[in-house]
Amino acid sequence: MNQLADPNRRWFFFRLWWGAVSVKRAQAGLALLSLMLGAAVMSMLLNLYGGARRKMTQEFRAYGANAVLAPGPTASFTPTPASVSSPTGRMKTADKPCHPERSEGSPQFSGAVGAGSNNCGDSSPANSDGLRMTSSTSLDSPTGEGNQGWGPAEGTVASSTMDQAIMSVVYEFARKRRGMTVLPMLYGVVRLQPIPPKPRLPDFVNVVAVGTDLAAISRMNPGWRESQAMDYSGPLSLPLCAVGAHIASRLHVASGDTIHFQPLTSSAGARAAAGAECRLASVITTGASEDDQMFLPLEELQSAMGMAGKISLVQLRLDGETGEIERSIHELSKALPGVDVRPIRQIVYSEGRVLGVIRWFLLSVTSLVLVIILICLTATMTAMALERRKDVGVMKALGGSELQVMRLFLAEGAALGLVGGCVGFFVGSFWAFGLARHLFGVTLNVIWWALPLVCALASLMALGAAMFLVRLVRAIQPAVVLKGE
Amino acid sequence: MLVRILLESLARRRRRKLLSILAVTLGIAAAATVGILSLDVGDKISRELRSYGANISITPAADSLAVSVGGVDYRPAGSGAFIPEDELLKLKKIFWRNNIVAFTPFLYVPAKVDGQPTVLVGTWFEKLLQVDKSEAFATGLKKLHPTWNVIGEWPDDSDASGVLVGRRLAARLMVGAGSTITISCRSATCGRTILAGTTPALRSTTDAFQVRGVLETGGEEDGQVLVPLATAQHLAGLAGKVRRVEVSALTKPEDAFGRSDLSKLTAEELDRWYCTPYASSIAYQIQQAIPEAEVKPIYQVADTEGKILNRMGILMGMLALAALASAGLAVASMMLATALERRAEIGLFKSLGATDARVATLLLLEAGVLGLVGGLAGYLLGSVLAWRLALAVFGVPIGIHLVMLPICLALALAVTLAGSALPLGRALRVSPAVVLRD
Repeated sequence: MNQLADPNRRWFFFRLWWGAVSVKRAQAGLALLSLMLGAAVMSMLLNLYGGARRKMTQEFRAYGANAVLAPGPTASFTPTPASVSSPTGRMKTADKPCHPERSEGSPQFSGAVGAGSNNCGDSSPANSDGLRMTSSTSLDSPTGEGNQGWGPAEGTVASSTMDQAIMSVVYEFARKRRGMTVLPMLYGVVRLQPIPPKPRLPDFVNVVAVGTDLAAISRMNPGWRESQAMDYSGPLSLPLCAVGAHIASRLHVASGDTIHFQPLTSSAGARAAAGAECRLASVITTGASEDDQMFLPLEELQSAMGMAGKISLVQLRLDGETGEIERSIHELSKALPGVDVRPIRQIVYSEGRVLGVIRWFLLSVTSLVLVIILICLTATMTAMALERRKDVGVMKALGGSELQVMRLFLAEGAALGLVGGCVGFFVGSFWAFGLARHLFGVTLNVIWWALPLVCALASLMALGAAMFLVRLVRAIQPAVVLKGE
Repeated sequence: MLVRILLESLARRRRRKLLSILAVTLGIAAAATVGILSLDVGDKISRELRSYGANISITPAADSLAVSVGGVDYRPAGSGAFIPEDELLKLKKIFWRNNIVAFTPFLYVPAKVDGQPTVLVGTWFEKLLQVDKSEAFATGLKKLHPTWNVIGEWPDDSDASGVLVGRRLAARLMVGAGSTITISCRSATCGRTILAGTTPALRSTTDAFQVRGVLETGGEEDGQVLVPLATAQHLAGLAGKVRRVEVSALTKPEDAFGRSDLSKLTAEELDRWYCTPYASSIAYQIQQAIPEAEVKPIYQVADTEGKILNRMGILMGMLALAALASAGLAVASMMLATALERRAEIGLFKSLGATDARVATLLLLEAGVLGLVGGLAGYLLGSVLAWRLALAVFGVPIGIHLVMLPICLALALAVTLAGSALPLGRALRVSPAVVLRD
C-alpha cells in the first residue's frame, strides 16, 4: 500500500511533529537564533564590504591626484633660451650695497649661499664675508655667466608643453565618466618680491610657479594645510595667489600681502618680462615640494610667460578601484594620441594592496563564522532529534518510513533556515547601515540580491546539519525507544 | 571530598566528555583566529599603507628655497645647504628605530643626457647599512617605493656606471635597458672646485653610463635619470652630502593628544607623547638626532593614513566582536545539548540527599574544567590557524598574541558555565522521582 499517498497519515504525522516542536520550543528557538545570527553576520559583512570599499577609495582621494597627463615623447620640446631671462640691470642690485649679513644661511653653515636671496650685485668671492659662493648661484651677475647655471634648471622645469586645446577632449571624457577631477597646470620659474620691499630682508627669491585653478587644487588636496581659507571667487583688482610656507617665512609675507612675480622662463616677446602683481590669499603647508612653490591662476602665468594656450601637464583624480582607474586611463590615452597618461603608481597600487587586506580579512571572518554556525546548528539539531526519539519511534511504529521521517526533519531544517535567514538578513542589514553611517559616514544601498543568497545559505546550512541526523534516525528502533531505554 | 567526586566524575563517560571538549575547542579556536587576525590586521594595513612611500621628509634647516616640482629639485647642485650622509645612520638609533621601515637620501644634479637637459637624482637603490656589530638594516629606493615598477633591473649601488632612466625620458631618448647614454655635466653645476678666492675651474665632464632599467612611477621621476648616490656626489663635487632624505615610518594616527603644543605639556605628558609613535614625535626624535636638519611629517600622507587606520580599526573590532558572539552562542548551544543528558544523574544525586547547591557546584565545576581545557586547546588551535592563514596570504607570519589566551579562557569559561547553568536550573526544579522514572 502506498503510505505516502495517504493524506490522513501524512497529516497525522505532521500534527505529531508539530506537537513535538512546539513543546521543545527552547531548542528550536536556539537553532533559529544561531541561524539568525549567522545570517545577520553574513549580510552585515556583505553590506559593509561594499561600504568599506567605497569609503576606502574615498579616503585615498585625499592623497590628491592619482594620474598625470603629460606631453608624450614626441611632443615639441622647446629648450628655453637662457639669455632672455637674464634680468640684467632690472634688479638694480649693482646699485645696492652688498649686505652679506642679510644673506641666506647662517654663517655656521658651510653650504653655498642660496640663489638670489642676497642682494650682492656680483658673485665675486670677495664679498662673501667668509661664506663660499659660486657663480652658479647668483642670477644677477651682469656678465650673464650666472645664467648658465640656471639654464638647464629653468629649461627643464618649463620644458615641454602641450596645447591647451586637448582639454576639451579631457573635459568631455570627464563628463562622461563620473567621479573624475581634471586640473591643467603650467610650471615656470619666477622671481618673487614682496611689495613694498621690506628692508633688512632678502630682496627676492626664485621659485617654481604653478599656474592652475587655485580653488580646484585646494579641493583636490584636502590634506594640504592652508593658513586661511579665502573665498576665491569675487572680483578683485589683483589676481589671487598662494605661496608655500617656506616662501612665506623667507619673505615674511602673510595672507593679504601683495607680491610681485616675474618669470625667468619665458618665450621671446613676453609681456615684457616685467611680471605682474598678485594678492596673497593663503599660505600652504604640506611638508613636501609645495612648501617651496607659488600658486597663481593659469591664465596669469600663461600671459606673464608669454605662453598663452600652453600647459605643462594635467593632474587627474579618478574615483574607483585600481582596475577601474587603469581602464579609464587606457581609454583616455587612446582618445588622445601624442600625450602620455599614467597612474601615479604609489597611490593607485597601494590602495589596491590595502583593499586586498581588508577583503581577505572580511572573507576569513565570514567563513569562520559560517563554520561556527554550522557546528552550532549540528549540535542543536542533534539534541532536538535526540529529544524526539520517542516521537520518531511512534511514527516508525505507526508505519512511517525512514524517508517520511527524514522529510519532516529536512522540512523543519529548511523552514528554520528560511525564517532565520530572512530575519537575520534584515537584522544584519540594519546593523550594517548603522555601522556604516556611524563609522564611514556613507549611506549604503540595500543589497537586495544578498537576501535570497543569505536565505539559501541559511537553509543549506540547516539542511546540512539535518543530514547528520540521518544516521541517528535510522538507528532509532521503535521497540527499543518506546520501551524506555 | 568534592575534588574526589569531581575527578571521578570527569573520568567517567570519557567519550562524551571528549566530545564536549572538542566542541568547545572548535568554537573557541574559531573565535581565537578571528581575534588574532583582527589584532594583526591593523598592523598589516599599516604596512600596506607604507607601500605608498615616505611620510616624513628631512631637508637641511638652513636651505635656500628649493626649485622643485614633485620632489625633484632643479637648483644647481652646489646651491643651498646639505645634510651629511654619515648622519643618516642615526635614524636607526632613535627611540622609535624599529618603526622606521625604510629611508633614502637624494642629491640632485642638473645635467644633460644625450643632449637633453634633465636632472640626475643620486640615491640609494638597495643598501645594507651596518647599524652596529650585530644589526644590519636593508633600505633604499626599492624598499621605500615597492609600487614603483622597473622594466629591466635595479642598478647596483656599488656599480658607478649603472643608472635607471625614467620612462618618459627613455621614450624621448629612445633608450631602454642595456643601452648606453652619455651624461654631460655643466661647469657651473658640477666639477666645481670649492676654493675661496679663486674662480671656479671651468670644467665640463662627459661620461658614458649603462642603462640598467627603465623606471615607471607616474610622478616626476619619470623624466629623470637615477644614479647611485656616490656617482652624483662625485659629479657635483659634493662628497658625503645629500640634499634631502625621505623616511617611511610606521606611525600611530594623530589624535588630540598628539597635536598638543609641546611647550604646554608637563614632563610626564611629554614623556608619554615621546613614547607614542605619532608622525610628529618620530619627526621630533629624528630632528634631535640630526640637529642641522628640518624634519617634518608629510601632512597629506600622515593625515590620510591616520583616518584610514582609525576607521578600519573600529570595523575590525566590530567584526571580531560579532565572531566572538557567534562562537559563544555555538559553544553554549553545544553545552546545552550535552547537559540535557545529565538530568537522570541530577535526579540521582538529589534522591541521595545532595542539596541543590552541592549538585550545582559539582556540575558547574565540571563544566568549568571542561571549559578551561577546551579554551586552552582552542587558543592553541586558533593561533596555529591564524599563523597559517597569514603566511598563506601575506607570506609573513603573525606574531604570538598572548593577550588572546586569557580572553579565550574567559570566553570558554563563561560560555560553558552559561550553557550548563540553564538546563541545570531547570533540571533542579523537577523532582527526582519524575526524572528517575523517565
